[in-house]
Amino acid sequence: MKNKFQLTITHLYPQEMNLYGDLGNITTLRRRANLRGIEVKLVDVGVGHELQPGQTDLYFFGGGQDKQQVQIAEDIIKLKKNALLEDLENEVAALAICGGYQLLGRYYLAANGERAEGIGFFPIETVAPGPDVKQRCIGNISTHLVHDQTIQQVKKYYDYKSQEVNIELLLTLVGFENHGGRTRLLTDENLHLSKVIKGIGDSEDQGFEGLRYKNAFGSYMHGSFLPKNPHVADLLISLALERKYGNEFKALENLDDKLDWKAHRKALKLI
Amino acid sequence: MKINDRFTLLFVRIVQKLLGLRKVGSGTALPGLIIEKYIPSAFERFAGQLDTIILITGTNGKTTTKAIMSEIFQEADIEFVSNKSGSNMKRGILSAFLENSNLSGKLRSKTGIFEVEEATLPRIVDNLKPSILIVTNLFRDQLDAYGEVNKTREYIRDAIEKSPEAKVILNGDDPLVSTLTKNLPNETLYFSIAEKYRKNISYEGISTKNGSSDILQASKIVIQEDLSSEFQADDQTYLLKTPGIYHVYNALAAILSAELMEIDQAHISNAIQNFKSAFGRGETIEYRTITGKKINFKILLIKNPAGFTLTLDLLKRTKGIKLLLILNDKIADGRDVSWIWDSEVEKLNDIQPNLIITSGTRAHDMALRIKYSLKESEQNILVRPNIRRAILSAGKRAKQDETIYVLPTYTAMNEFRKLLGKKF
Repeated sequence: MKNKFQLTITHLYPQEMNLYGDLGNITTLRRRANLRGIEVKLVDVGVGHELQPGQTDLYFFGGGQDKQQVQIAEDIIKLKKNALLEDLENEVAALAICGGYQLLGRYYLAANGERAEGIGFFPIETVAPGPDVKQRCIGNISTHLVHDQTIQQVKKYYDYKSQEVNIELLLTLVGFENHGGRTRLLTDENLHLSKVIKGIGDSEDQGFEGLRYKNAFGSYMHGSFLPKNPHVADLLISLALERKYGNEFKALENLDDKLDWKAHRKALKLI
Repeated sequence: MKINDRFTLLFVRIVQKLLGLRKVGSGTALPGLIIEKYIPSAFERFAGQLDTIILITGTNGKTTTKAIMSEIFQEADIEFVSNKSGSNMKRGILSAFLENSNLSGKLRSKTGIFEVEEATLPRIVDNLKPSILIVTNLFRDQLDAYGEVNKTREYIRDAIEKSPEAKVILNGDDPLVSTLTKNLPNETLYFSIAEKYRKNISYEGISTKNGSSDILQASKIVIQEDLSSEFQADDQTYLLKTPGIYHVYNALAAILSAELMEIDQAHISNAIQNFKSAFGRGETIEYRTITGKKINFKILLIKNPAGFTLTLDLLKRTKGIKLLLILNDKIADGRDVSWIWDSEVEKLNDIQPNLIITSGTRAHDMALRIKYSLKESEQNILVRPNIRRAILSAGKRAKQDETIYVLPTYTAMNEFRKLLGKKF
């Protein structure tokens, strides 16, 4: 089915920040939009390009190695920060994973002591305790959503009943985390996205994973994240379309997500 | 050697024999484990007996490079000691020493060829002083084990710094590898393939033109119908049966090291031509279904995005095949299966397989990746997590003499081969 909707997805630093299958998130967003007849324009924005505000409907920002992350941090402040802040404040949808999540925050202090300033949109700070691989948080992770607005929206935008998914399952997230940095929320406002069932998440002492502010989501979940969490993929697409088309956008058509949820269920059982 | 040491050696040799009799493949590191515990100096004492030590490291191609070199050395009648594929940590090498030694701890061979896991390398070069050190490539592989690929590179650089006498053979096309001896005194040789053949190889980092003249380059590569490669390097034509461009790299590395060892060209060419694939790397296993139907399983190990993508690219030449993809997430495979999303599984649209079965502990993840890559999303993907059932499903649907292409991760490959009655 062809419809009039069009979606522009901006992929930030696809060359530098593309670790651990984060590309799968783009694959998923694009495919799920295309299957609904939504035209997708994918824009790659890398180092050296000045970002303009008001040009996109959805940002994706993946994770990178420490070395790359410190390299791009300078570029993001110089050429991207203002446009990003303006768009995100204006409720453009965004998904930021791992390094991307950290750089939407205030700063990232790498294991070797190098400090990367973030754009400060998320009220978080991230500190990596040391260079040893043993100090990294590595493993399968599952969580359940605790962010009220997100819970309501997932129920609204994702027709879970037709997928034979019950509400408990719908509110879970699965992924694989691999990060050195520990992230701390610097506000009393409850922006936590989910509570950890298995794994570590933002940091050992907090028990939360990820954050949502306005329509921007931050998370440590690779896996890739969106393929096995089709409800979040559809939420991002819905938020972007609703912002762009207002009441013209009602709901996304159902897709056959049986295999996706089977993989999700299996992932919930992983150690 | 002390009495106690002799006793331990005897004991371990008995253990080794028993393991051999029981065909316990994965037990190869066990004897090494025992020796390491009871005779800590054994490693050093064994290593000190070797005149020539060749070490091979890198993310992909260690096993095949070592196997091709072994073939060349055999052809040239050079006796050598070598570790088993995958047993590439200290214990695996120690086990190889034990098998090669007599009861007083004396090695039969004066030459050693070892594949060494990257993080292990800097820890063993003090004792196992390499005459030749080969680095095949550095792809993103098992990032959950090391954290980051830059870290892996540091391990190797560390090892080279500790080995100033070693002649170093590097992949000249891989920017992370070709720069490894920069500002170091090591004599360095490079291998490479002509640019047009490496379009699909996604090396990390920005490639800089290699200024060195010590490059052995495969200038022309022709892939034959049976997926073997005919290639030219230094005016010599070689035929390599093992399928895949990446194995041409491995052959080039082996050729360079053989040249350093002053082995005759005739021996090198013959050995490469006679080389049958290292197990799981293009190996074909014949299988009979219960009704007596004969089918072939061609095994192409996949470990990381680079290898997976190149394997799918290779298979474009075999349209309409049956595919069995087995994804495990055990430690040796990498616990994180995200890498399948970094692989260009979309190449399946060029292969147009008439059957796709996914299997292994993460069969559903693989099926989902494939679902997202196929243009015709209606196409059926059979999900059979149990590998035995996957084999039965494939066997049922195959025609007499048909070849089924099996793409397993490391532990999946071992399990698969075992189910087909192959020992390690």
